[in-house]
Amino acid sequence: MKRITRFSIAIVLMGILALTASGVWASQKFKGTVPALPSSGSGNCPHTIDMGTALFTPLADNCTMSVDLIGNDTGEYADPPEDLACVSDTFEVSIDPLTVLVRVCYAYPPELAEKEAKIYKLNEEANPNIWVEVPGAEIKDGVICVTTTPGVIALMGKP
Amino acid sequence: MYASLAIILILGLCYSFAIAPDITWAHFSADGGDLIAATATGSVPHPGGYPLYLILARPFQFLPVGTLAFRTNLFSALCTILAALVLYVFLIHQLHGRPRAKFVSVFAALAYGLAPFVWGQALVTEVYALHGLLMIACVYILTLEKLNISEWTRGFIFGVAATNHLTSVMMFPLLLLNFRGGLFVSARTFLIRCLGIAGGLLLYLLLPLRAYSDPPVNWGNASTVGGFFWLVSGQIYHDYLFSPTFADVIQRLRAFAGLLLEQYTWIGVLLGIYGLFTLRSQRILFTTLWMGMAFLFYAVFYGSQDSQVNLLPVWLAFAIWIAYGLNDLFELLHDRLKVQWSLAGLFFALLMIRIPFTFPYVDVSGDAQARNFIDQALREIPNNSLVFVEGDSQIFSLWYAQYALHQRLDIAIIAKGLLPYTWYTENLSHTYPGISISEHGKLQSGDLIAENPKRVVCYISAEKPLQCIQPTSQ
Repeated sequence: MKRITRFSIAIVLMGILALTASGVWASQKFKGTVPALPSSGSGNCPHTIDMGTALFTPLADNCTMSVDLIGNDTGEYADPPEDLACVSDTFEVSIDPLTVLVRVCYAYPPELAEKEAKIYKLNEEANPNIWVEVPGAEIKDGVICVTTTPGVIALMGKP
Repeated sequence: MYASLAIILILGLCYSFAIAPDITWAHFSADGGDLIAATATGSVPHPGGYPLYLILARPFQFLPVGTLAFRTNLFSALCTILAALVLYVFLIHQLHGRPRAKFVSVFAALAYGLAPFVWGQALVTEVYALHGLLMIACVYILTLEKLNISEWTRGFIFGVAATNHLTSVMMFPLLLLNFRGGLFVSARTFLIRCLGIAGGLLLYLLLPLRAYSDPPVNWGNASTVGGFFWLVSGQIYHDYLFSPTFADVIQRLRAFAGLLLEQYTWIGVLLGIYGLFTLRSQRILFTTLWMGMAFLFYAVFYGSQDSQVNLLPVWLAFAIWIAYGLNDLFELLHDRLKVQWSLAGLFFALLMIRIPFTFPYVDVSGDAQARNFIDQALREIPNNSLVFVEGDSQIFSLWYAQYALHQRLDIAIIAKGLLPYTWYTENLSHTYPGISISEHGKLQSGDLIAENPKRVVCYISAEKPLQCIQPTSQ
């Protein structure tokens, strides 16, 4: 192959590389060295399910419970109440039988206390669905806990 | 001699001003904490275990300078300088008798050592600097006809390379090729080379020996046969391969083009492609093309967050092609000595001018992100806490602090993502005899919390700062 041919090929390939080049390699969906945990947990009662930002403890011995992480976007269900925003993860709690109560405890560091964050539950029977504050919250030792029925649970406070 | 000194001096200066003084997460070195801790404590790091790295990095940890992490980072810097030197010697031999062979060899070695990605890897604790050194060693011993070493030794060096990074097995098929006649080596030669590979791979036996003593980091518990193969085969990551979608592959190929231009600029890329088509030596063409294509393929189709680190051998192959491209230009100007020297001066000046522009991009000498994270976490975590951690950077930094530096021995650092593995549960029992773990199996953090009701429970992840709660208050 003549020099001029080689050089022409090199210029063409260089041009293709320069024109197609982009700066983004991997996206966040790819995994790291330590595998990521699944975004859900389940177990037989009274097993506590730990979802990282909240603990879920069923208040009965004979039941099964599962918790799914929804993320921190509650818009799929209903907009947060006025002047409030979701400040931690949202979870969907399912228990069989449905009558069993669950103790929900969210981590409550000072920055969430400043936002006056409270635990809300989605009222799915209302049309449209609305978020309702779960009464009887206990705040102690950097944690906020309520006792409620299964459903969609979120921690909301001032934005 | 002066050329080698120039390479050592230039790269040594560049690396010494930019090297990380402590543990860092920069340049894809989130795993650094795991490697430093495993090296310092006689432990076993994440798959594939990296036994060669563990052995070679250890002496650097005894140096009487800086932090433990800094001393381990120094090993990466040395490996990269050595890789550049071997590349220089390799090219000097290959280009012997051709015009400006020495300049071209120095230029290519410096271009490799100063490529932003390679430079970055020289500053942090990771296995890739050593990987680069071993890859150029493999190319060297396979392609240099005059090198008087036995076929067993050739195989042995390939085997040893695979004990640093498992992807080196992609180079094994090259041992089938015969560059002195027919296409393939004889069955006898191949068998001898395979025995050499097996000899090199014996280094992996270090891992079960270490695992047997129940070290604090003990991935896979390699003291069992199943655990050993789980570890060295990287079984935990098998489903990462071919996990990128077609769109991801296209995106990565485009990103590769961008990265290539970033490493060598358009002048270097032009020279490299030209050099590839200029290569007359079949053995170097086959070897470098295979190495470049195999590692590009792997990097693109491997679905980890940092899979571009596997491109380092591609940058190495490209540096060799740049040398051939530049050399051909000098051959073209064989009767015009002044122009040759002017061109050489111009290229060298371009390489040197690029240094201050690359430096801010790679410099981690002031990077304290990981150290600040460790300091803050260890300061704020309550006594005797169970600390559930997510994220490579966070987990391995805390392992480094506790296992290697013996800080905050009262707390239990638990990698949430490893809890489903039996070996990890067993490992926790040995490392933290004070915490109660009743069953070894698919443990969940809820089990640990329930069995240790008096301990504060804390969470740390990349997305959220330290959060601690008291399960006993429920």
